[in-house]
Amino acid sequence: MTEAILQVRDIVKTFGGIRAVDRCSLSVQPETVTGLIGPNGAGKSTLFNIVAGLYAADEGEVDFLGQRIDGLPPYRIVHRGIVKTFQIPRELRNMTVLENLMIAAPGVAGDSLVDLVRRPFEIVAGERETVHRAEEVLGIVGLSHLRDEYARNLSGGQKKLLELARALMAGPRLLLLDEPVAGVNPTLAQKILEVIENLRRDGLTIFLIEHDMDVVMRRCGWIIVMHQGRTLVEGVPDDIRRDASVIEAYLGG
Amino acid sequence: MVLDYLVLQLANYVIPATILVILALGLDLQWGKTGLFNAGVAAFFGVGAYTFAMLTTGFFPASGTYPGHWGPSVPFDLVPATLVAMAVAGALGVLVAVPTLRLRADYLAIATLALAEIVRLILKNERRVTGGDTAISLIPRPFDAFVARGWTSDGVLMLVVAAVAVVILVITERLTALPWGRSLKAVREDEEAAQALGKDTFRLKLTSFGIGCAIMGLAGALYASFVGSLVPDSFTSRLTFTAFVVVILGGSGNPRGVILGAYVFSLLGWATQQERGNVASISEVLSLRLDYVNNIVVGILLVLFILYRPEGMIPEKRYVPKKK
Repeated sequence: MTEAILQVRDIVKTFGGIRAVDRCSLSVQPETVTGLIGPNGAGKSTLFNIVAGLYAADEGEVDFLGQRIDGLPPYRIVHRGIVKTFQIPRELRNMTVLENLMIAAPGVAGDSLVDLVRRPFEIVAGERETVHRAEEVLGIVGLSHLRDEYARNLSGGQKKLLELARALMAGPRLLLLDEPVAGVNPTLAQKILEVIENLRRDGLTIFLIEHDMDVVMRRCGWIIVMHQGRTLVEGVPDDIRRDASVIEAYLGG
Repeated sequence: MVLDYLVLQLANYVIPATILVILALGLDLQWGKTGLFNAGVAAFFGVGAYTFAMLTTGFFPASGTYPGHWGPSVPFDLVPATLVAMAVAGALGVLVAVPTLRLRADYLAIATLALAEIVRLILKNERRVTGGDTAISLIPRPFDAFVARGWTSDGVLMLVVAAVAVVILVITERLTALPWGRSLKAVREDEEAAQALGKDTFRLKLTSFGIGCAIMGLAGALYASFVGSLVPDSFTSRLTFTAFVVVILGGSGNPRGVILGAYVFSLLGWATQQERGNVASISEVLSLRLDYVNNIVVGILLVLFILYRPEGMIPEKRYVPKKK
């Protein structure tokens, strides 16, 4: 096995009296599609939010590419290469689809006012480049025809695609997808899953939460099962399918 | 003589309306573009006005009924005084914003609302510093030398204020057209999503707020020059309300809308003054209460706009770059 791209050690997170994540440890191997499954309330989304820096963990540490990232503000974690999508799409409603993508472009000249002094001549060219890249990404997810539409006017499935496209625009090494195909029609879900598989082939690592067992079993190379805030078991799809404790957790938990 | 009279009439409408444009452009950067609710617009406008007034009139000792006011022993020129007024208003904005912008959005509103009241009360009660209710007066206007040669002072000030408004318009339009401006919009739409996409939202909010407050300070300096004397009660929350009405009626996020909003709003107030005499010949009682009628009309307009046209008269422009 190669060295893990993401390593989570003994993470604890409590909300009031509830231990949402309870000494959870897991690791994700590079260039895989790794699935995170578990019953509702197992702490999956909370764990994702901790990795992305949106929640602060009470205890434990998170390493990415061998460096500690827990405690960093979310935007710095994005700059390191981890981008997370939201379970319920958080499109920027009163901005166009193209703008939604352009927002995520990293290291753009003119994103800070200091650039007016530091690199004023790169702004116009940089902007053209950003538009160009955003159009490419829209092509990948098949949203090109909605380029100038306000994001609020998109359908639920299209918003899911936009969420994915926006994350890609940020140029991540590790993509955290929180239920990327939930509530999406089968055709569109198929499309999203194909995009994910292509990304893996291009060298990205994908870590996803999904409730659709069929999707998880067929699309993930490695599966981690969470139950009551900690890792219950992990393995290749065939092992997970047969594991009695998983069946217990899902049906009895 | 006729020309002088016309200029005077026009200036009495155009100057305050244009100052309101500048003030509202500052608020539009904060509220329209970034979604920051500044409930203390009057404070930043007032601090700009007072800073300008104290610097340009210089130190005044107490005498007889006048409590005196602080100021440099040699009065500042108008341009440096304006720049300092902007810097002070901007710095005050940053000072309030640093502790509150990290908290939930409502805290900024609460803190700025309180600030406005604190500033007004300080201006009122620190009498030996600000002149208190007795007013700082003899505040100079730009190009006083030209006025002495027979130009009307109002006409000159009108041109200066208009020129400043154009400069501020161009600067704010250019800044918000940068990727920086796009990031501000993302903060306005969904701050957490913006963070998850790699934006340092605290810094974005802080710069937007600081620049907005500096622009409000500039509007205050021009106002001080226009009215010539300042009393603290000119800077009540009514002024803050006015700025919001202008931005919301005009179209938040669109400078053109904000400009239209300021001129339409000011026209209502100006017309109210102009028609007072005519109304008095019909009803003395009504003429005395005409300002309230104006308030009621503005209030109804605001409610109607929020219900039926929340995007304002001229909505924010959609960003559509050329296709490749």
